[in-house]
Amino acid sequence: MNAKPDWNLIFLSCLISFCIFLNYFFWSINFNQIIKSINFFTILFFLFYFFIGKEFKNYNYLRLFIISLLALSLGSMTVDWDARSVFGFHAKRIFLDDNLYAGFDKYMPGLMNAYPLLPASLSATLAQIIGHWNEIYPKSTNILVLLPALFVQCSFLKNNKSILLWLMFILLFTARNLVSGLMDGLVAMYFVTNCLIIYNLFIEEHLVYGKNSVEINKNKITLFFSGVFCGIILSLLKNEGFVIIILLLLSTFLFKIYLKKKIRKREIIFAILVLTPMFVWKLLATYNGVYALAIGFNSFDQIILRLSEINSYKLVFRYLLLNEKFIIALLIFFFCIYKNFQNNKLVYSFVITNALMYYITLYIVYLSTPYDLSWHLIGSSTRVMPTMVMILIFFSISTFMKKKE
Amino acid sequence: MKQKQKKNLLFLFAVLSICLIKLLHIGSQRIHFSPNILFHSFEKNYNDNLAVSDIIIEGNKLIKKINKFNFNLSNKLYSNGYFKQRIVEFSYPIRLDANSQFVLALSHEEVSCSVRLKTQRLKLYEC
Repeated sequence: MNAKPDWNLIFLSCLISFCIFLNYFFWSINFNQIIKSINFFTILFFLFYFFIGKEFKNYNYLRLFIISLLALSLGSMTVDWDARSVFGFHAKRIFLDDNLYAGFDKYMPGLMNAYPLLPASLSATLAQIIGHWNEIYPKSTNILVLLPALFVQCSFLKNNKSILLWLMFILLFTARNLVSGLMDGLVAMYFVTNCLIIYNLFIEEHLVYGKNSVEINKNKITLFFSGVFCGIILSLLKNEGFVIIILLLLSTFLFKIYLKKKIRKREIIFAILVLTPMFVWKLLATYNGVYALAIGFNSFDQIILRLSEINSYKLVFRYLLLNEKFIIALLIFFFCIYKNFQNNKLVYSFVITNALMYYITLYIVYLSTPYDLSWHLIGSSTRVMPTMVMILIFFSISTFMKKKE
Repeated sequence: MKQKQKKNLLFLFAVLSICLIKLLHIGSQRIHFSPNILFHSFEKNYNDNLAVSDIIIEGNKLIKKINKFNFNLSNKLYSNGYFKQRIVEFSYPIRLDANSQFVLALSHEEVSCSVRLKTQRLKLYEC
């Protein structure tokens, strides 16, 4: 890993992620519209600062990338099923009802009222500023939600070459999900970012934080809170993000035990801070009788039943293993392991552990689905596999480029 | 040194070309990007017919005209997953309600209520 990341970019990422969380928090306590608008313009100001700030003059590719995504998002209609029915509809409800908890009235339970609403709340704020709803612009706020994750990733990459390579893979494997109003691209990107931050904060701890104690303390706090806010955002994107952050925290504690490192207070505080908003949301949803649809009490029976059918194996392997993006990512990752394993044992182990845990979770989710397995796999496997793909690719690039240095 | 520069330029050219091709592919094939949409992206009701089919827009117009808070769907329309989902999203804050006296149906469907409004493909009944 790059031991000396760009702290200015991480600081900017921390500020933007804080504002994104603040927007959600303001909605959750039904705060004044003017404050929410000011907060939204603050995010825009930070984005503008990234474009004009001298500190960021080396990130021209990243600037171009962000502009391209914004243009694609604003230049297309919202047509994807989940983007409209789940995320778009909830954002519209928050905006028109002026209430984050509009879904708790159980209207249309099939439209996932239990889903967390952080990105939808940002769309709703923009809609309040614009003053009306349409079928185009609300999804563009997903690009703003993407910024903190993207900034952290790029700040850890060594040079423009590796940043450009990473942006190319984002375009190849998940960009469509980022601009169409779906959450899956964001989940993939935040999985990478959280894995990166958690690894550097708690596992390796070899980062160069600065020259003097003031700088060191400032950067340590910045990375810690970047991790907290990125973790919160990941957990509040959709239920899958919540599962991923739990897996990440779990693997961190397991690694600490394995490496015979002491689990300190700050790791526990980190976990508590990250998980609290999602627990509050789940608690409120459960209290109001709104539950996630796909989880049934007969999930275990369903798994047993499907495990006894050869057809289930065929289907699951076809969609979760023979995915062309996944195969390409695996090849690149294995090549990098082959080339650089000695110097990057720990990071590879951490990435493999997390990717594997997520991959196994996917199998469990699909095998226990109450829906028709084939229908569920066809509809969602292409959206969830980039999460695996992106984490393998990012750590391949970062370790490979480090070696070339 | 020159060799290295040449290599870097080649790398840059290859990666940027892939990025450009992929951007064009996403824009034209995957999300049907249009500069017109971009320039009108904040306009009210701009090109709604590209987001949902015309029959949804027709249905929404009928529902809006009666100026009520809810509507119901005939059995045929209710069992049409696409129509049900899209009309629910598109017509919000007017809500789908099984107890509503206003029923939206296909024009050839028989509903034993009085017709309030109609278009070529849809009728709105008051029961």
